[in-house]
Amino acid sequence: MSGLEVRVIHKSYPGSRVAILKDLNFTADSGEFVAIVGPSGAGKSTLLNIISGLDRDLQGEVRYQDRLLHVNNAQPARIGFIFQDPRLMPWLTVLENLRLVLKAENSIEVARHALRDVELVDVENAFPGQLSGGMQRRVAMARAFIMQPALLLMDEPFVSLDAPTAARLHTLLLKLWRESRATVLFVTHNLREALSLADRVLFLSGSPAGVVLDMPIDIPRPRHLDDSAVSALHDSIIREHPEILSGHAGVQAVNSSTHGEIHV
Amino acid sequence: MAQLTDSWLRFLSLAGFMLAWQVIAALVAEPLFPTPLTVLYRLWEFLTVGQLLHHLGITLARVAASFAIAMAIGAAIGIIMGRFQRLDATLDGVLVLALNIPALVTIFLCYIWFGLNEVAAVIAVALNKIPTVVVTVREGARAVDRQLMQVAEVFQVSGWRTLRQVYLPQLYPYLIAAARSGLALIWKIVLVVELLGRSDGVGFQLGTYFQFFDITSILAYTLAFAAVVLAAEAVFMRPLERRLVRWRT
Repeated sequence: MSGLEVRVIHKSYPGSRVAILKDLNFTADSGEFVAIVGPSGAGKSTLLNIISGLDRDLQGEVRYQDRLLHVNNAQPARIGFIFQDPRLMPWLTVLENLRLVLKAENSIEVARHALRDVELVDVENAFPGQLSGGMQRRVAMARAFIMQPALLLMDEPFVSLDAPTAARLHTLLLKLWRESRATVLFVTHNLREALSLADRVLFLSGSPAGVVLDMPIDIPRPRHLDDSAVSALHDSIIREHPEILSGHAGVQAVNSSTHGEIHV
Repeated sequence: MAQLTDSWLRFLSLAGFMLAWQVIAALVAEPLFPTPLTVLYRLWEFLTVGQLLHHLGITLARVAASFAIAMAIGAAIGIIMGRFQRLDATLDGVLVLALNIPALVTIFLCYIWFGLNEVAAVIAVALNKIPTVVVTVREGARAVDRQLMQVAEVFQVSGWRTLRQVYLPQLYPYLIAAARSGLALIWKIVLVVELLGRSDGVGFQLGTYFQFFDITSILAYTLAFAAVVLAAEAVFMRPLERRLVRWRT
């Protein structure tokens, strides 16, 4: 049984006839970590907004475990979202920011536990403005995992961080993901980041965006951004599909089934 | 340390003002320009044997009632106008008109239509204040961060919690600004309303003393009134503001 099924037939913004997304279809297994790579402006954020239900103005549908999401009377799915900016409430303390998304009575203990997971217990009473960028991302990560999401959406969550901080957050993310078994969609424009994190990478074309290449990553974990296996795979992708990062798969990929075509 | 310095500055400026008043009044030596000591003595008489506290209390009650009504209605209209663009465009003309109607006209109309009573007095004051609250709060509602509202939506935060912890905190600075300027305006208009159509309250008393050119009594009432305003600012507005924006460190 498939976890997530996304079928976008056509998506354009109100008042415009130009399609942002067109015939964009893919599935993700339950518990799978899928990275989505594409040129900037290709509609990656729009795609996540559609899957999260923030944007419901489209032709198409989103299913999770065979249930239709974001239609009238649909049972709300547990979806976590880590945005590009941490988007914490600046007037709530770290602890209050986590409790905001919890309904349970014992939310203080749950929130404290989540803070322990991201090693932020000692700043629970700080306001987000008093934290560093990396710490704010950790709070945002804790907030997304704390409600035990079935589906976790991440929109370039680690851009504009220095390399060591990003690497620490990568490790933390993988640990929390393994514990939660959430299905993850991780949007990035950084191919190395995608290769070092994901079970599978989807490459999007430029506007209107569709999936041009769907590639499983077989490198065993733990991997790091600068591992030789990751570098080798990165180089071989760029060699075979020189324009993949600007949204073109190249002749070979389009003509044949691309699934699992490339291995190291 | 900075806190202390600020309060000292506040105190020193008031003390300097009093001193200048005393010196000038002593030089002029004229019954129509009493010294602050004369005024303070009169104030003491009013407090001990006169009815100042009674009138002050009535005026305060009117201020509180019209302030609460003006803030509640003004904030509600402001939020709705800031949120719905077409409604905003529809009501904007009326709002500009309401902003520019002289207070005196509203007061006369209320007294004529609703009678010379308490309800008319409070409505007249509130009507004068509502448009300015609307303008300030609308600005805040327009500036609400959609990205934070999306967070509440994705994480399925309940409507009530979203209002209290996500939406309203973004409006607090605007609500505080509206309350500040609101109090200042309402204090003044309440006195006019009392002068024109009530038989008690500070405004009525001032009117009576004006008939006799009793400057000392007028200033004594003014002093009592000013003391209340300063106290309200120090005890109520400033601590509230500090609490609501304490995250801005």
